[in-house]
Amino acid sequence: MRKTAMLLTSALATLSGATFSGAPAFAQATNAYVPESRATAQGSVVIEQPVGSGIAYNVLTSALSSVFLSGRSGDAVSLTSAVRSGDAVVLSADTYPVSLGPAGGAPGPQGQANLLFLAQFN
Amino acid sequence: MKKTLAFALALGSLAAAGPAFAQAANTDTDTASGSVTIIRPLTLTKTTDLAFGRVVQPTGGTGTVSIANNSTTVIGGSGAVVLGGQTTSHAVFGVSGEGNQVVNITSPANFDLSNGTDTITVTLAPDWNTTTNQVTLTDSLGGAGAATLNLGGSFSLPSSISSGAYTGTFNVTVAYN
Repeated sequence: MRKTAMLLTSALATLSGATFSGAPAFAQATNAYVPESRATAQGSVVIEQPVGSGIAYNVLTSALSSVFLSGRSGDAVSLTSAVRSGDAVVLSADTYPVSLGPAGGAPGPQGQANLLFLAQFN
Repeated sequence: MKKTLAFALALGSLAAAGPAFAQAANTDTDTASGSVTIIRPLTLTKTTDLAFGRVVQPTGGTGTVSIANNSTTVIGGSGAVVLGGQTTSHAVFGVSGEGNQVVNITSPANFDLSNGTDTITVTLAPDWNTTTNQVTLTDSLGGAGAATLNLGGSFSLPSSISSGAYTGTFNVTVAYN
């Protein structure tokens, strides 16, 4: 009698456990998970400082003493002027003075009335 | 031993009661059908990043930079100058899944580019209906469907921001409706 009663109790316990533990699992399966797929894109931009050029001009003496390039250190610039043509320089600083003297190092064209100067940032 | 036998007889009576119960009820038959639609997994793949290239900031004020969601050309305005010779592109994602299925899309309205110090906020411009945020995959049920998601973007570029390389990321998520 003891063995029979124990077996019957054990079977009921198993049945009870399956019923109560099964219900929450079913509820989770129907409510929670929605399959999805995700991907990531990268955005990028390189912001450059504006470049330009300027001159130092003495209105009293009409002397054009120098030309300045403004850019970022490392910028490469092609120069064309009346006295220098086809030169290319690499800026070593944000503001870069360009000598107007000839390549040989002679004095610059101070007092010259007209000077064509072109600088192209590469 | 006698008590054990009595228990066995009781079980026998219980078993005999089953058919008697069925016969007592009024019988009826109905049919339920089972069905299921199997659809292939949904996959989202980034094809192209959002690349604005090199842009020269304005000497004063605030410039604008944009790229359309169907173009690879970056447009600068209000003093911002876009330099040529760079590879630029809008962002492209590819969706693959079951044909003719509606897919919900989740993407941010904007995201940030940063150089570690300064931040540029990019407003995204998707090519899908941003009211429903849904697309329908090509083909029909039973076939492989696909869709392409394109996103352009735009941002303001103040002259005061520091120069340098800016990067950032954004996520796009898709799920079956």
